[in-house]
Amino acid sequence: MFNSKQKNKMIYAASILSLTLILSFLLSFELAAASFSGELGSSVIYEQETERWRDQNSLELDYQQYLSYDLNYYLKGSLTFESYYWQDEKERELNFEVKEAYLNYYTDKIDWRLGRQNFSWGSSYNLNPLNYFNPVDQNSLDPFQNRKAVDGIKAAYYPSFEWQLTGVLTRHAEVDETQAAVQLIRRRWRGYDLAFSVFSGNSLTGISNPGQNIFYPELNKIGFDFKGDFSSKNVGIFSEYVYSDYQGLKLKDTNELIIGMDYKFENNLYLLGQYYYQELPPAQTEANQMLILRAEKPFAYFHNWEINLITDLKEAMFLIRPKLIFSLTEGLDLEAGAVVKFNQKRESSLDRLNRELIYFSLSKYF
Amino acid sequence: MLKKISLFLFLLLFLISQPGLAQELDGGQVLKNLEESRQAETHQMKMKMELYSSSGDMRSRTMNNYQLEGDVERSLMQFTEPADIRGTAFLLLNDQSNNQEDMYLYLPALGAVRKISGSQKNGSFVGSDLTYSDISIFSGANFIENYRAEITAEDEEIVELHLEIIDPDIDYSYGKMWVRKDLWLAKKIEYYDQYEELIKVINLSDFDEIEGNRLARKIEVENVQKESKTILKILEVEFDPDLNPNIFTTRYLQRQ
Repeated sequence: MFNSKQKNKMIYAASILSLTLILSFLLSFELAAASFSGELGSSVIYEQETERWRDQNSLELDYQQYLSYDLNYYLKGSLTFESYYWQDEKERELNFEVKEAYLNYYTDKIDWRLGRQNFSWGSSYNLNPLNYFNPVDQNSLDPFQNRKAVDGIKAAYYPSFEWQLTGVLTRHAEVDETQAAVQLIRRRWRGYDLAFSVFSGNSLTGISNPGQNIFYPELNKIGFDFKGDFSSKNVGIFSEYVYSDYQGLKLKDTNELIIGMDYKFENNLYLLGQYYYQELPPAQTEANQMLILRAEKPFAYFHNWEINLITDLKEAMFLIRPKLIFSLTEGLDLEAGAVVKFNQKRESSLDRLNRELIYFSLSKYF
Repeated sequence: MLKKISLFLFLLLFLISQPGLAQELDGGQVLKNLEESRQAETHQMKMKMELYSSSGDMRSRTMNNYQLEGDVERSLMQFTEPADIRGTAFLLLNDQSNNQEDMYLYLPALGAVRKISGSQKNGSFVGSDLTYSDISIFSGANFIENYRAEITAEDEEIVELHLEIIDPDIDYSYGKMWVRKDLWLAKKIEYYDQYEELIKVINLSDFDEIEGNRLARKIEVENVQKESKTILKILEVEFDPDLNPNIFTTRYLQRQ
């Protein structure tokens, strides 16, 4: 009925209209009980493997309003305009996305959250087997750092400071199935925070069989994590463990384990090291083993550098993610970064999850 | 001549008999006086921090700080400006009797509360020239637990102290402090690094007294080695407000 050009124009018009309506709606409220912020970003990305240029312009808005002391809502939306340049071809795409939208309701002992949200369970850095609900966002520059929000309901019961019991019900991000989990947290136990959780639902990672579509097998999981300090130097230590019991399929049960340490020196150098062991459900598949090292330090007072070295020990492949963030003025940052792969292997999960690229991005926060 | 000697002896006797002068002031007493200048069990403050690089560029941060003394010292710091760190919050719980300190961080981008390692206190406080131990000086420090002091000079207005560091978490080799005798507040502090080189000069000014609690509303910290500077201004302050202990919980942090 419409060609792609007309379709793009319609999407563009609809997104602008949506954004205008949202802004009008927000500004019509009494702002005293509301907070409003956002980020205007522009990025240029060169993807080396496909030799493709991409420029991305985005507007992200956050809005929170208190309707009463114990009732508030939060909205986070983004409007993204992307252009792709590949050989002589050019493609444009406009996208409006409600990233998060939820209602909070607080009672004496229970905090409720209803709507599209992230569940940041787990103690480790970026890789979180304990995040049962939010899939990694493979379109983002750093898929390890960005997860997609899902629709669901969360109830957190706080009998005391030390204890927290959380129940979650969500829809799976890909299949029309309900996911359920319960987590019990014990805080400040001899300097450690401990958490135990159980989950029933579907795997977040799809499995593909030759000639079949990707499917998300049913499974039950048991998870445990802790975080605390050891030694008089206060070296941080953390761990996550998940046992997955696959239901009704010829898939073997799996174990996943992360153990890591972090430390900040007096000169503000922050170091983190983390080992990840991941058994895979298809029979006779060798377990993944990864080592992640991260270093971060401010320089010239307002700026920051960061480097991540991720090694796939099974496939002997590794990648480096350097990043520089320059603070140009108050609230205006210029970021330059890259993903560089070494000893690239198609079989490695590192290769599938990361594209080799160089990028520059400018962000204005307001 | 006899009259003059009698007058001199009379004056000497009079001066010696004055209790304030007869009791010799020592470093420990000065630290005690400094601690007593702040009696409040709780406080809430709105602060502005200006950071200046060696080239003179400036960034600022605005934050709210809530503090509650007790068996477990509780402190909550919430950032309100600028936009890129707005909503970030720290919760610090210091249980001195059990020698246990727990720090929690809420990052809006993550939407979750995370326990952070105690070594985070090794670095600077939110990119400023202040360390976490410097911060405690302005929010009712435990001077007696952190330092051993010796008077090196004294006049009618100022006592000068040499500070020996006894808290292993404070990384300076030693310090010097100039204390105003009329207020029993520090006017200037110098810290020396492990090589005994001057690293930091802290000047305190805009002194104020609120409901018996004395404080400096402006604190200027200069890192003489990096040539950077941080100015901390206390915009609003309330002592002994009726703070709900529930705000010093991970539950409250999660609600940001």
